Amino acid sequence: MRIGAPVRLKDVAGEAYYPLLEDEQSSLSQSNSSNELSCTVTLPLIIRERDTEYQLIRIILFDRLLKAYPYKKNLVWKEARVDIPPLIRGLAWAALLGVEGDIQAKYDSIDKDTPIPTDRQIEVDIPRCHQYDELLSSPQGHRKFRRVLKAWVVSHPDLVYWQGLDSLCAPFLWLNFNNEALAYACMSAFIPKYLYNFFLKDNSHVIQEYLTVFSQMIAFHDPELSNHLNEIGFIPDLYAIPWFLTMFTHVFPLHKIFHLWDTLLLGNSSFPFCIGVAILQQLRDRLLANGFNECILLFSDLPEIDIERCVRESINLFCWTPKSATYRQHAQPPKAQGDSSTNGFGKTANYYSSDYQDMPKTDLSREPLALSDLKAEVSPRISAEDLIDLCELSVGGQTKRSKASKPKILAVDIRSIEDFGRGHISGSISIPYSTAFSPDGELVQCPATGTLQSFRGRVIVVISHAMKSAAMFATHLVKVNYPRVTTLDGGINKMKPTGLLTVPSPQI
Amino acid sequence: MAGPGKDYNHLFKLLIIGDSNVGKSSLLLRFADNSFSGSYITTIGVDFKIRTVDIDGERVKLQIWDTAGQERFRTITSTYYRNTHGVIIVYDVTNPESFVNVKRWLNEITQNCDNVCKILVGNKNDDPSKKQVDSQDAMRFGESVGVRVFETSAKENINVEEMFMAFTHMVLRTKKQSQSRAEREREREKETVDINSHRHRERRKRGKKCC
Repeated sequence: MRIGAPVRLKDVAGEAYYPLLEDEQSSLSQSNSSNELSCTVTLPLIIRERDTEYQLIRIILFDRLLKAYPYKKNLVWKEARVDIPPLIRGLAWAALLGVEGDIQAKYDSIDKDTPIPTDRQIEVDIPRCHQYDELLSSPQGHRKFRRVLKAWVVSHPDLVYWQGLDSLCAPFLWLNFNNEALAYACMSAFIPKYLYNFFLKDNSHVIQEYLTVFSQMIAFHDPELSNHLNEIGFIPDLYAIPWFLTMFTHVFPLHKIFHLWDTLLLGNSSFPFCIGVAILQQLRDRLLANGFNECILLFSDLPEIDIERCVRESINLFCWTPKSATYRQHAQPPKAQGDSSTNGFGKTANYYSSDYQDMPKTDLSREPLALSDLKAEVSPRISAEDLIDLCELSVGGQTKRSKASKPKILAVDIRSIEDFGRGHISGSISIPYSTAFSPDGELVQCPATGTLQSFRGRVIVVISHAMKSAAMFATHLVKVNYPRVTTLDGGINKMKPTGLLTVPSPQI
Repeated sequence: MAGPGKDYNHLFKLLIIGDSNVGKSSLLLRFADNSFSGSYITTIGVDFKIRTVDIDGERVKLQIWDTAGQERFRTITSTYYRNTHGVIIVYDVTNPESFVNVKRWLNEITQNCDNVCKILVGNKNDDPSKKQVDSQDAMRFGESVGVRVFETSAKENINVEEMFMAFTHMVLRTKKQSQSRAEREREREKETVDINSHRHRERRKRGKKCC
């Protein structure tokens, strides 16, 4: 920081170099020009990254927090939600990924020299990976690339090298160009979190399930687009494999990957679905206006994506997605009780803090579903526990909790009026399936469907006896462009043992 | 023949397969955009290009699917074979291993298609000093499996256009042949009442999968 800085930063007060970490207030108020800086924080990221004084303050803060890592882990997370200074990104990411221990010794102990069968493929791929970049296209870059990739392959005997792993390695290598061990450690920590079992020799079950959940996410967030894409047969298998297999590192240049991953690393393993939907939505008009041939061409040469907008919209989509909607049976199994309480986005941290599969499994959790059954359903299922949580039901009556951070929800009971009368979820509305839709698939006008229409935009949970009818009802709703449609996994029977069903009192 | 609102008479889906780094994407880019760059990014999953060509006065739209070369991707790419009219198998004339692997790629086609046009393409044929797969060997192999062989260079733009055009001719001819065959069969069916008609229909349905 010293070289060249004195002139530019001569007005920075000495205290700025020693921020008080324990101060409850925002770190930015430490500066003598705090007003100016707290203004800066609201400016676009690109501008913040070019503001020398702002960067100075941020770097000093991160530097101190990272020196105190892992003890200051929570604060690193908190500050990373504001932004991550580019100069310190490598270390900040390592902290977010929970990299710990003697990584250098670990890396040194891996044999990166003995020839292995994968060598040929790695040799072929490296000269094609982010070669517009000076570092990664340099001979030294290629050598480092080779070593880190080989180290990963050799040290993960149950996984294999898939094309795309090179792209995935690129951001870590670029950020830690002079610290291969850290690049290796970050990559090794990233993969199980976001790409669990994607690099199995036979990964088709993992990928197929992932893409199916992604299809459901498109239908959930953007039914009109989903209807169109399904109609023309433009399915995720045709465009989204490089997106997810490389977590977008194959599709974006490095500077965009950095900004995308600054946020990705704060989210859980379901966040990438939202990024995918956000990308589709940026191209929405063009996709809607075109047929199959034009759409495949559009994606074969992906147009410029505004990454800051993509990040913003991904977060919004994420906040609207019930946790269990992205359940995957091939996701990473629950980790041993660790502290996952620190991640998540700002105020929604409570609900979104951890991965769905990390929460204790109960009778009310989602159950594994055969791929063919999952594929047959347009809309995602959500778990009974999600329904209870989002409807704020509880055995002891209504609890007053802050509702602000959770998606608003509307439970739609499609059983017969008689069944509904015998007991239903408090707050749910009754729209018997048999009378809900006209022969041409439109919703029949009645007071209940009126309610449904007036709450359009809320998360709709279709509840039935049988999953099949719930799924069909949901499909109908998607067809008429209802967003955020879900079904209750296991149907009403899941709710019966909870004692949460209410019987309406006679007409008041 | 052209339907209302269509800008073509025929639409064909072609698939390009072969080992990684033999130049599948380069061939496609040369044919579709007439350009070449030494540094491509790897193809993960599938990539597409479209070009419409004129064959004997008919507009033929080619929808060309360029697939990932790494062997592992075969489980993923196998779904891309559906409704394919023609498959282009590419090897690298400077890399004998990629030629040896052609057999496996042919196998892959047999497993995923019933009846489909095929062509074998030896790419990177622009430097005799580097050439390691002999033209005669390739031709002989092609004859033995009943597949026509072309040698091309996407880099120097040698034979690329010719190969694609010849292949499109082949695919079009096959389509017309099967159309007239189907027509003949329909007429024959009208004349005779076949007690096995149900079975015939079944067979035809199955045979329609690919070409």
